[in-house]
Order: sequence, then structure tokens, then C-alpha cells
Amino acid sequence: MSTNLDLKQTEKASYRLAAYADGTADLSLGLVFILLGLYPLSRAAFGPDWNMLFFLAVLGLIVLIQSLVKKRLGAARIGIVKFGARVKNRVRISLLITVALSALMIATWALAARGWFPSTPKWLGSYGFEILVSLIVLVIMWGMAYSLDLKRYYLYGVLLAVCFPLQAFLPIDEGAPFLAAGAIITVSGTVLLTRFLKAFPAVGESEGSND
Amino acid sequence: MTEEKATPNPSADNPFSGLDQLIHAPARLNIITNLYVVESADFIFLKNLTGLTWGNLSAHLSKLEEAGYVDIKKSIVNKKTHSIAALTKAGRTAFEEYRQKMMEVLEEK
Repeated sequence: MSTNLDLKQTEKASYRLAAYADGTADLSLGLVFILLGLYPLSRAAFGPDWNMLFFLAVLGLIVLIQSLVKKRLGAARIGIVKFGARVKNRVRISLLITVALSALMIATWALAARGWFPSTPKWLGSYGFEILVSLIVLVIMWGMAYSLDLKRYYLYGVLLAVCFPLQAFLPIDEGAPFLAAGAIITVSGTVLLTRFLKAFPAVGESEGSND
Repeated sequence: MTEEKATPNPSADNPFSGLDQLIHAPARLNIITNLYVVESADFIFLKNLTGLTWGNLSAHLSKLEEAGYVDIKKSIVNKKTHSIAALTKAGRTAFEEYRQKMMEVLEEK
């Protein structure tokens, strides 16, 4: 038992337990990148327009399943916590930054796909787009890792950021780096979820009060 | 004439004597610190976060509730008791004062 008076660390520990201890966030992230890895295959199967719809539908399904699983697991095993205005504001600002950066990334992607990406400095060669997207992914993931002391997110950031240049530089199947990174993160999430289920049994307050 | 021996006054010499002893106990300090950073939390969350047993957690929360530092709301969910604890305004103030005094004591040392 620790008597930690560092309130920032205590706050982070509370948030980590409530939001990241069960591994469902990792599982969702991994599945999203597997979905990105399968994007070329689904594009070939459905065509570009239907593929985008398919992508968004599966993405929505992943988010929905994650929130349902989290709700079902969380209350019985972790308990219920309400955070104060300070934490809520921080989460809102982080989400806003993530959404803004993601929008920038998607816009860049869309422009590059149509050949409208502006010419990049000579020293970057023709890989300006890949480098920009990698940097955005790295900033989002490392920002999360730093603000919540989630060390595994530093690794996830590197894994996901290298996907874009790898795909551009190496003669490999389109989507393969995303599939590999997504699979690694999904395995990590599965391990976390398994550990979580063992470490936090579903014990009701009345049942546990006899010890 | 007998010379009176000077006995040290423990309360005057001890820098920790001014601290709120109800908060100073490690288990209660653990509970109150964790409650300070959230709006409210149920007993299951507090148990997971503090590592205390149900008995200990319940006993220490009762003491904090008696002192007016913690407000506990009980309800029945699916035929089971569900308790949610939150720091009261007095509890927040007491913890802030305790923290301030503790930092002063440690800085003096």
C-alpha cells in the first residue's frame, strides 16, 4: 500500500485504472490498424466508395463493442468513478487535439490520394506525405503516453508511425505494415485483458465485505 | 533545594504534532488522497486503487465519515449494496491544510 502525496500521479493512476487497465482501448486500436491493413483488399472487393462506407461502419462497430465491453466489465470489476472538472477538461482538450490532428492527417491523405499534395522540399524526396503522417501519429500516441504515463503507448507510437514510411520505401504488399502493427497491438491488448480478468474478479460489495 | 529536571515537551518539539492525526494514518491518507483527485468513487474502485481489504476500507471510511470528511451514499443495485464515497468540503479543506503543513515540515527538515 502506498501513501502517495503526489496528486498528479494519483490522478493519473485513477484515470489509468478506469480507462486503460482492461486493455480494451489497446484492442480497439489494434483492430483499427488491422482494418487499415485490410483496406487495399476491401477496396478491391467493394470499390473505393463502398469501401469507405465499409471502413466507417466497421470502425463504428469497433467503438460500439469497446464501449459495451468496457461498461460490462468496468462497473463489476474496477468499480465506478466520477472525475472532477479538471480531469474532464484535460480529457476534452486532449480529444480536441487528437481529433484536429487526425482530421489534418485524413485531409492530407485524401489530398495525396488525388495527387494534390504540395511538392515537398528536395531533401525530403517524394516522401513528404508519409513523413508528415508518421509525425502526426507519433505526436498523438506519445502525447497520450506522456500525459498518462502509459509506457506501452510510446512503443505503439513507433510501431504505427513506421508503417507509413515502411510501406513507401519497401517493396512489400500494400497494408502489410499496418496488419503487422495492428496484430502486435491486438495481442498486447488481449494479454492485458486476460491479466485484467484474473487480477480484478467481479466481486460485489456485499460479497467482498466478509474478509 | 531540589533541582527540577527539565522534561522535554513532546508536543512542542514534534513537528508532526500539528498534523491532523485522522488524516495522518497511512490507510486513511491513502483513501483521502485518492478521493481528493476525483469527484466520487464507489467502494470497489477505492479498494482496487488503495489495495486495502474490504474490512479496513469500510472501517477507515466510517471514521472519515464520522469526522465529516467523507460523504457516503448507499443504494441497492441488483439486490446488492452499492456505496459511493466523496470528499466533503470540510474533507477537502482538511486535506489541503494537512498537505500544506506536511510540506512545511518536510521543507524545514
